[in-house]
Amino acid sequence: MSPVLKFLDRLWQLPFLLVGYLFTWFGPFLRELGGMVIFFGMVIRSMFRRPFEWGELVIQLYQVGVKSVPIVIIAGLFVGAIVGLQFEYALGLFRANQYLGGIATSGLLREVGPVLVSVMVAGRVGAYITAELGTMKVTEQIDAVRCLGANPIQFLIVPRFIAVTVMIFVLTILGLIIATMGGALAAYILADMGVSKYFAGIRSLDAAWALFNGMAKAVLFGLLLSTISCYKGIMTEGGTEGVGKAVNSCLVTSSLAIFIVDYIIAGLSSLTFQVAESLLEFG
Amino acid sequence: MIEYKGVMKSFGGQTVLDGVDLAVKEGETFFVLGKTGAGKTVMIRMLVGLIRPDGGSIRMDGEELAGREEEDFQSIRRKCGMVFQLPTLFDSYSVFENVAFGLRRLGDVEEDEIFERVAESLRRVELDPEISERMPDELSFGEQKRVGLARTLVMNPKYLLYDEPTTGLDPFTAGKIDGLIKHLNESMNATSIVVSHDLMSMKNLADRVGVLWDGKFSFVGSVPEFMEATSESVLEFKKGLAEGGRKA
Amino acid sequence: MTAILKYPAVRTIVRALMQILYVARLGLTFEGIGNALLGFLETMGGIVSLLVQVLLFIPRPPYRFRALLEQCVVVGWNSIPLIAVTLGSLGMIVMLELDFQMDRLIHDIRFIPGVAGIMFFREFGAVVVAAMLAAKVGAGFTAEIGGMKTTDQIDALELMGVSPIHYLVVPRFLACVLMQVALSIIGLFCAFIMGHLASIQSFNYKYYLAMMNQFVNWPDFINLILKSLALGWVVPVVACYYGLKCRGGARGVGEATTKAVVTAILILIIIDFTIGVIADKLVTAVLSFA
Repeated sequence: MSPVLKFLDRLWQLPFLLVGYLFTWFGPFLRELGGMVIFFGMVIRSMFRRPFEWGELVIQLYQVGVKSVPIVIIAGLFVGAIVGLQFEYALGLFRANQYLGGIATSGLLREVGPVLVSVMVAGRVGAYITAELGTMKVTEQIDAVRCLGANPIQFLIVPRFIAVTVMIFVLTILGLIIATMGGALAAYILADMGVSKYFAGIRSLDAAWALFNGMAKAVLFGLLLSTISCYKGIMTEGGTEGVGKAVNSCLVTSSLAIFIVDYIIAGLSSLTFQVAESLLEFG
Repeated sequence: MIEYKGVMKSFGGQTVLDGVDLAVKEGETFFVLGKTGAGKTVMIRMLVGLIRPDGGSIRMDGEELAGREEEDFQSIRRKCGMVFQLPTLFDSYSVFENVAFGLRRLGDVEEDEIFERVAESLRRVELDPEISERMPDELSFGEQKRVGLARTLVMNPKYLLYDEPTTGLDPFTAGKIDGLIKHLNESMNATSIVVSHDLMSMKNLADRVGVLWDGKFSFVGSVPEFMEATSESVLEFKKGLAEGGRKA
Repeated sequence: MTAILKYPAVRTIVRALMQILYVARLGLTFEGIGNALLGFLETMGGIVSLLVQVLLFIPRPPYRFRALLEQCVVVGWNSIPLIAVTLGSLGMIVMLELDFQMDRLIHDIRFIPGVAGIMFFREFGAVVVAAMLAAKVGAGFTAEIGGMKTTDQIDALELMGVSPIHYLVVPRFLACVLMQVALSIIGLFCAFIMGHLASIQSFNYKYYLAMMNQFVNWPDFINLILKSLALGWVVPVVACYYGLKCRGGARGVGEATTKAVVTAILILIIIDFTIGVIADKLVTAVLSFA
């Protein structure tokens, strides 16, 4: 790396660090945020460096993805049913039952599905990644990786980062399908509403947009979760207790991030939908 | 040849190393004694770039190590084999993959050669190569430690750095590990630095001994010299060990 | 075919797949499936038996009010920022989404505050707070007790003749159940206020309250409290169960924490669903009687 680039590298870290030190109460939070942004940049840069660890990536895809499938299925099924039930009750109060399918599906695809899958996966995957990296940190395995001639970011972080991001996307799609089925099942079994009637309530443009929305969220949540969990793992300090604390803090940070980002996207998406619809109508 | 000159290091305002001067000759086994927190581990970690010195100079075969960046340490790390206090095996890899880890990082080693070198390395630490299919958590602690040793040896390092090799082991296993290290040092003709506070293994292994006291080497000499030394720090160190109930 | 194998990337991928098969080989056999089933039954049994033991220990002296207060601060007071932020955002999200959907599908946005109120009271108030507590407090319990277990402090307690369940789990259990109720109400309040702020352009204060009043009744509030009580036990019991069971140093503690959080959230969702179904049936049964 040339000295000019190195200087620029330091320079764009500077605002985060300066603002971080300005506030004592707000300071730790901003420093953490700055640290994560810098970490994210480091990971993205290391991603294109050779050699790429294909083997480690495949193992992590299995660990993160395949092993989370049962949890996503169970959670998706029940949450779909819960949302179906509650909307059925609420809509029943003003006799709008025939819209149940549309509202419940759209709500599941846009909001509940991505958030739920991300929170579940944060519990399963984010915590797993943090615990594994944290254990490797406190038992000096990361030092051993460095001594054996591998770059820990390239070898450990990049495969996990990619695996979590990709797998949250795939798991979210799976979760959305399962949750939609759960809603329809709940409506059929508990509210005596035929499946065809349930799905007839869905407007195709709404559903397509909702699906797109949910997927966009899934990508964003994936990036957030992978950054947070890897960062918390690699920053672990202080033995056995430190690992537990790191996992805990990873969970709290990721749930906060998920909810706040979700709100921002919900605000943006209702705006963009109007734009998209007007384009379609006039186009 | 490893030379320390005036190496300084402090952590959060507390000075750990305060001008360490030392020269380790080719082919010898140098033993660093000191109480916990004296900076012994810090000293050898500086050689592989896990910790950077605050000041002073460290030279390995004439190359300056202080002030290097992470990327520039790769060539140094190929020459140095670090054996950690814990086995530090990678839990998700089998024993074979653990030992082959460093070879695979080199990128241009053929699969057959990797297989041979791993088996040879496992035999060197007196383990059955059959063990290579198992996972680390199926092994005993002593076996894990040997696999860790094999993982370092497979790279054929010129310098071997042992961080408390016998701590946490019973005297029987510790004696075996000592014998293994001695045998390895002789057969590979490697230069090694052993960091420990175990006087038994010092007697077994050391060519020369140094006592790290208050951030400096207060004594450097051969084993008989150490046993007879009457300087204040050496006496205090021996007394401390004796009061702990572990006489040499 | 063999030509492909020359590429190092392909070789590493093949090797990784073989390693996965090697690790997963037990899971693919009948024995593996049986073991998984047994493990599931063991976990459920362990959680239920810990719950029963805790309930039996509660009335027994000595009463550790100081420990209870300390745990209440840890569980309740320290979680308020998290609960306020998550439930506040949730309130805004629900209003935004309902506004969008009701407008598109029903072309009628009059009832939005009411539907949102039902969502808050009957669903999110208790469940989301419990899930957040699982992440914040449950993981902390498992890490703390797991750390004590791996450093033999639990055994030391038993040697001194103190039951670790009585000493460690009971205060955490009581604090969690009490604070779950309190935090549900606080979280509901946050969601209520933020929901109003998010929809202030469509509904004024009076209309928002009037709609809430029309849809949400006392039974819904009682539903919230009962649900909080019914869900409150899950987090401390599951977290303490995994903490007390954990073995094997830093790695064990990390794994136990992960498992505790996932198991707790799954149990929460399943209980919530069951309560939802049973509550509806009960209400209809009572109404048909009356």
